[in-house]
Amino acid sequence: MKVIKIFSQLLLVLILSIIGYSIVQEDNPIEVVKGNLSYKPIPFILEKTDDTICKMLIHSYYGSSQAITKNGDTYFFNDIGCMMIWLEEQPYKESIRLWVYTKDTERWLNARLAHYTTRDKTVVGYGFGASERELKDSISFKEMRVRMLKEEHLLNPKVRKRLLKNRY
Amino acid sequence: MSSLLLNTNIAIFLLAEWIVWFVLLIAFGVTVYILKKWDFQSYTPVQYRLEKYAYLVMVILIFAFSMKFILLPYFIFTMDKISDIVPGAMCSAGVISFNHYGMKLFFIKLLILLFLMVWLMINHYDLDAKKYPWFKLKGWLYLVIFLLISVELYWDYAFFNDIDIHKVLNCCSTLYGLLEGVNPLPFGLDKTRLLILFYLLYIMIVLSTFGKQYFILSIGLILFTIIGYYSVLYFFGTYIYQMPNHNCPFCMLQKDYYYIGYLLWGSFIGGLFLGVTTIIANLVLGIDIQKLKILMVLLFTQFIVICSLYVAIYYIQNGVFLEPVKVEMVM
Amino acid sequence: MIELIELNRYYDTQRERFYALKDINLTINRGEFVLLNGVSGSGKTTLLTLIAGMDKPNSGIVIIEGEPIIKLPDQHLSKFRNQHIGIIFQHYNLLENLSVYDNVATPLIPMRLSLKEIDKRVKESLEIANISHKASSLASSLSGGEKQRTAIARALVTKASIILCDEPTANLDKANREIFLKILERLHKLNKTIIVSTHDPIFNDLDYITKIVHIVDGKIAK
Repeated sequence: MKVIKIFSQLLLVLILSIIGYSIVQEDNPIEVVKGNLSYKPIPFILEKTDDTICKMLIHSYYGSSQAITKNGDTYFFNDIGCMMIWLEEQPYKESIRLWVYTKDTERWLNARLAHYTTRDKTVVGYGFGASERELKDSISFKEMRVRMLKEEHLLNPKVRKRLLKNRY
Repeated sequence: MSSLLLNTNIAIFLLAEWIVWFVLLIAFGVTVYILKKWDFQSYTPVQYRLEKYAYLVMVILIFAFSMKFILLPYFIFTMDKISDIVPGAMCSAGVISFNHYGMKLFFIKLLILLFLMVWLMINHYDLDAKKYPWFKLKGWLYLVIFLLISVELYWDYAFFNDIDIHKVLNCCSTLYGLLEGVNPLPFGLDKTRLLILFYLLYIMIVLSTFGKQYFILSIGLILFTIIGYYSVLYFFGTYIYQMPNHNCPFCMLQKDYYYIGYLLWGSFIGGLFLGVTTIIANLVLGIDIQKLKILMVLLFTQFIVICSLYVAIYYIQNGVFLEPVKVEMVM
Repeated sequence: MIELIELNRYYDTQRERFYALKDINLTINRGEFVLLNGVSGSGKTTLLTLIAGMDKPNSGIVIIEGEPIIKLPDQHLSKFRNQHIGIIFQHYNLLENLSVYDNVATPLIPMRLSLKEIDKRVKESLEIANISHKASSLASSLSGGEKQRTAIARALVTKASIILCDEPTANLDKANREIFLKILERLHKLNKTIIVSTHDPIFNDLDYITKIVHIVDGKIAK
């Protein structure tokens, strides 16, 4: 009986060592996932996936977004603002599927169909919060994209002052 | 209301769930009454009546456990049947992940079955002890079970009602398939380490069970739940399907694979449940149940043997192992 | 020892509450021979049923050998009754399609004894009850007295320390009653606690009766 007990304790140590070693040895964060030909949003692993633009680890689905190119390459973003920056650099923009995680219905939605409020506290700070339902003062995807390109977001101090004073 | 609710299998399933819930509602009312007034030391008419009612609750719960035991595989069978009529889904995997109720519903069903098993175990030893020392414990446990079953009933309806047969569902290759750039295995493991852990954990569980090391057994069971699941999904399952890229926990429940999934997952889940029950019996009741331990080990052994046999048979037939799936990480 | 404390058994009808037994307090020591006397419907059988654990009171306690048997879960109560109490019913309650031997052996099934032990006990009980010569006969072919003696053997086979008899002589002729009384005397000498519920006057003259309890309308008359 004593032998059994010692053996099982040794096995526990061995198993935990293998697991510990694997965790430590684990590969670098994921930046892109290839082959996503369903063009559906991927339930990517939090804390292990990087924002394509700012290279920050994505800690929460809230405010995050994904872009899937025609060949199935999927890119991840902490903030819809980052995705707009990235999108600007891409050819064939209309063929790229864009997904955003909504704050009200808590699910992935076609980013082009979502509504965006402009004064939200987002991860990077651009201020565009996506929702499925149209809210008071929310804007369309098109307008949000234009504002991002014109730098009319919360990271711009002048715009920030104006937005937060509710004059917009 | 979705027209899918009129499907025969679904209608039978929901009706059965309602009946079980209804009798459990009676047991719930009786249990609340018993818990409020129970005083075993008393010899009054009220106490004698409560002791009789306790038997009613016991009979109802035995009935509920039997029904839930049957309804779980029937639920999976029903989803498999639905996959034939909805586009895109090749097996229950697509159906169950259609909406956010699916997986939650599946897990709550497993949880309920586990809790019922624990309740029956506590009840057995409570009666055996003559003075009902765990009466209130099992009473409160039952209230939790009833709450879960009520939530389950709502999710049953919501899940099936929300399925739109005109929408294309995902098939398992979309849900479980390996994409380049993704390692689906937990703890950053690769296949080799996963398999090593698979067998080591089994040995550790067996040794710690007979060595009465319940702390080690608890850790073993938790890890084996994760490692066992992923091992079947990303290794042994491919030998069942004889396709290196077919990763699905549900397809093996189909006729094409001789319904081996029921035996395989049944052994796995049964072993886990018995393991948890054994630990609770020991830590909460202070009782060592030899029969449960032996049955648990037998179930896990059956699980290991089935998994290993598929690999062995494939190797014997083909002389090689299945081509390992490449997983490419993009840094 | 058997203790009955504040025992009540009643039935609620639409009009009233009918008490089969009311405020029964009784102590019976080991080895006593107790006679429960009373007219038909006075509550004697109900009292015996409660002592046997075959019914539950509405209030009060039945304690046998220190065990409050009414509180026991069914599986324990059945086991207790099997091991400690032998019952001789008014209408015998034999299994008609089985032999005398098998009828007597039946209570030993839950005890999981070896076949050798079962055989030994059955033969001993048949001997005490003076029915050994009919061991292989079917119960349906027995006379009233023979059935009664089979019932006695069955009550003894588990080596129960308490024997309960409910109107044991009701269906017997004079000769068989005499035989029955002799057997009872033998059991009394074996230090069994015997409780007999009867309104047969033949018991009134027995000198080994230690206690007579008169029951009138569900109460113990003083």
